[in-house]
Amino acid sequence: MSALGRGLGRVLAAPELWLGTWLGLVLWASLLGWIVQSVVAAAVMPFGAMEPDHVIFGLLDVLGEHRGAAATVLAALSVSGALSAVIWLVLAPVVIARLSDEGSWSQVGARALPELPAVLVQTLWHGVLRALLVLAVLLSVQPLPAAVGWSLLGLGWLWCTVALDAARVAVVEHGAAPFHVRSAAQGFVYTIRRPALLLPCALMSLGQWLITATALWLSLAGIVDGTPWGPRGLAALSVGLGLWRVATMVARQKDDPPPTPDAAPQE
Amino acid sequence: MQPAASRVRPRAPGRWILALALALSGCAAPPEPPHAPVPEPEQALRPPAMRRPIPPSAHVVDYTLTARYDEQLHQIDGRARIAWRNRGAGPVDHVPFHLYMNGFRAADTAWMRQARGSHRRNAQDPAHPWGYIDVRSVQRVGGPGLEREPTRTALRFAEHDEPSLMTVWLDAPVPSGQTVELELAFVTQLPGVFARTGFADRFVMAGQWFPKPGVRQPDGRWQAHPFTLHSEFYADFGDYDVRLDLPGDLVVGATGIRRSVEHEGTRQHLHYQAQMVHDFAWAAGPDLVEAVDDYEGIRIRALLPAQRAADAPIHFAAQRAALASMEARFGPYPWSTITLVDPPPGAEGAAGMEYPTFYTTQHARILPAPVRALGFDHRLGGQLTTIHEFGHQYFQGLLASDEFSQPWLDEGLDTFSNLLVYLDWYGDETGDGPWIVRLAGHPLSLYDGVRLQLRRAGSLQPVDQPADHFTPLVGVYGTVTYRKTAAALLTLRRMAGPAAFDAGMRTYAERFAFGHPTGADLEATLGRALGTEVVLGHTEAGRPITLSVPRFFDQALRGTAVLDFQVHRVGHQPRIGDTGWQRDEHGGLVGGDAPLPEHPAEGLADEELEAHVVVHRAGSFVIPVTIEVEFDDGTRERVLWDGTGRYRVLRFVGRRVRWARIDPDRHLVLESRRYDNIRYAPHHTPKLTVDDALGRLSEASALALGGAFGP
Repeated sequence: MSALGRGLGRVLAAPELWLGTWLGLVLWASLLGWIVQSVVAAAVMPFGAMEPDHVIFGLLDVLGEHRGAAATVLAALSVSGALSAVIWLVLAPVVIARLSDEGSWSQVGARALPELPAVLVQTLWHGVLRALLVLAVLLSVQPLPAAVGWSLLGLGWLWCTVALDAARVAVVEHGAAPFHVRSAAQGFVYTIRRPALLLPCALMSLGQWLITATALWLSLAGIVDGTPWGPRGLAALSVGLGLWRVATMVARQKDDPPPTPDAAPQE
Repeated sequence: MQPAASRVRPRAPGRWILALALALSGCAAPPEPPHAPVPEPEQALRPPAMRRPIPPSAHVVDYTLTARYDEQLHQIDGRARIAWRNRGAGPVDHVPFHLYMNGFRAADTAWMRQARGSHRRNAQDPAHPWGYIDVRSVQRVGGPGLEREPTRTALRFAEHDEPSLMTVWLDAPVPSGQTVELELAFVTQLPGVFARTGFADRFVMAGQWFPKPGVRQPDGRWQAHPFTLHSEFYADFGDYDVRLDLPGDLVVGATGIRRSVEHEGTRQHLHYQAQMVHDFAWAAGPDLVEAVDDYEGIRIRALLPAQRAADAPIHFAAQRAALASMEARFGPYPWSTITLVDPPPGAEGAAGMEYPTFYTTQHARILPAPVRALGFDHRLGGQLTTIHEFGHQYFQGLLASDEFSQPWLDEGLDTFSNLLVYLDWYGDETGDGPWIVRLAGHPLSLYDGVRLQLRRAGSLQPVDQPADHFTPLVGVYGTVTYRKTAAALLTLRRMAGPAAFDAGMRTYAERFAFGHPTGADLEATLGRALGTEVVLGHTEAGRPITLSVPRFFDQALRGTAVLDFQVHRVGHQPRIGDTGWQRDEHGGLVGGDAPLPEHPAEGLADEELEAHVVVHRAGSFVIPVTIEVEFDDGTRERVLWDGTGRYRVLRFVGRRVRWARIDPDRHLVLESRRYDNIRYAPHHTPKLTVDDALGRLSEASALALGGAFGP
């Protein structure tokens, strides 16, 4: 069975991981939505009825008139984005450990939590490398048509996401140098040398972004008569896809471990 | 001679890049711009049968211009021979000139003092910041009272302290009805383009590049104004004969028709003619692609950057729509050509400016088809700019109002006419005009777009004031002059009725074509078409409720009153009963029943309560308005309020109100804040609220971001 299939098997074997992270996300998002709704309602009371044929004007009318409400919406979105990134970062070693091993949660926790500082440092190193890569792509695509430039930038971004998975799994599961930039760089090397791994993982990452765009579109398009369960369902799909991507990396590195300090030639 | 169409091929090193781009994007090659076989017209004006007659008195000044452009120095070495007719009553002993380019000469000119080095977010080019026009000599050609005499007399001339103005003193007065011929030698230094004129690399936009006399008013006074940030231009009509000497590889567009082009070495000599226009501008660039279209004999020529050649059909469609709408509404376009130029990247400062039979537009910025399929689209960008800049061919190209004294007459009327072009082109798709932006399928109507742009600006400065009264620090010139004028006229049109209003506008356009109409002319013409008082309805007592047209203009144009209504209260209370002691028909007291127990209105039967709606005129703009009320049984009732008081109370005995709404047909385009125009009665919940919508959008955004960032 391919790493892709074995990765899917690992995700399906950890339904509590999938369901738990999704439920946490839904609760968090609902809380933010409720805060925004309450602030806006307090600002516009006793008005606020919208005409279905003038939805965009209705929203802009209120947001333009009540800058505090607009700031709340903006703050909610900013906090949401930033906290999502942080929470997923903190959860990364737990997710990797759980997808790697079917042991109890206490065992998973005991194995994952000590790796948290290493994962944080590797993520920072990766961020530096990602910034350099993006800069290099931006500089090199300037003479190209905009569509080509954006496409190359997108491809680079997807590669970075998979490389980060590779580096994190290598640190948590295979004892890669925890604080050295070499481990982050190795993630790029490991993935680019294995296109059969990189391609599906990159597609899964792309799928997550497409689902994100779909959820936003669905909520905006269905603002008059839509249901909140559309975006919530898509969030479950997106989380599942992300777990599958990480699990695929875990499965692949079980068979094809990255070079570690121990495995490096001794001088 | 018909010039060969120029088409720039990608340079050899760039071909592989283009091939890669096409392969990656999976797109077909950009379509060739249309090249309809439309020859250059023989005459600058359309045949008399295709236009209105031109009053002879409109023909005041003729120009013969020669210019050689030095591409290294970015200078135009020019001569202007100007024949000016004294159409006034008395003799004239001096002629004021506009030297508009001198507005860019130094940091302390009137223009620069206001602009502080930037215009529409385009900053001065630090390498080539200054532009100027240096008049070297002024001569009178021919003796006093004689025409075309070969004698030449040097005349005294001097710039004013404000260098965008110059006076030439004649050696002898020009009697009424006579013509004076002046010849001026001048050098014009172009700045790096940032305020509509100048150069960017090899692209040149030459606007306001030669001296132009002021306009002598009917009362004998000259109108010549300092060039300020918002003042634009003002000149008399006449004929132009222009010969340009330019680098040979530049593709050139200009006012009027091209009589000839001859290449000589590395140069080209072009001959242009224009009739009954009040300015002449030209643009040239090495990488411009030419596309040609035709509209009922009018040659439409587009010059676009090579990389945006595929935009040509978009500009042509907008141009044709504008011609169709404006000819139907304001009479025939009198000239035989129209040339539009999309300045190339780096020359954005030249975009969006109008000259007779010639204008600059901008990048169309059409969204990709997949994005549009998802319901995201707009009708702005280059399409709107093309419609707007062409609209200036009428307001102020044909109806040449004084843009300095009353800028709303060109920018405001043009913006208003743009809205009508969209309405004629797309139809009333939303009941509030066609959509102008769509987000995930939800339309933002054209008029809602205008309302949004009016926000908070209407109360700062009035519409009808000279351009230099608009202080840049207040920053409302665009909103007030363009949008508020358009919103005011649209409001009046929707309230008074389109048929009468449109007839009035047509009368205005016909009567004042090739003239210099004022705001008073427009108001008087519309007042005659609509009547001083427009009857909108009647009170219950039969008294007419009217819209006073003069009062409307006073408030909308000369005042800063804000138009704003609000539903102050919607509720119910027990109706007045007949308990207590009442006198019967014999005068005796009867009854004495106890009062009804206090009871919340919600618990009462319909016949036991009365509903009330209180409407508040929150702004100081007084105008009649319609109030619509929906009752629990689903029926609706409308009441017209004259709007004179601060509030109006409506009572409905025995009926339960669900909601009340002000201006249900959205006639009041001048009202920008509308979220308080509808209010539900207590215990009635709207189906859709803005807080619920924003809450759900925020939740979905949080879900989307959470999914995208992790795991």
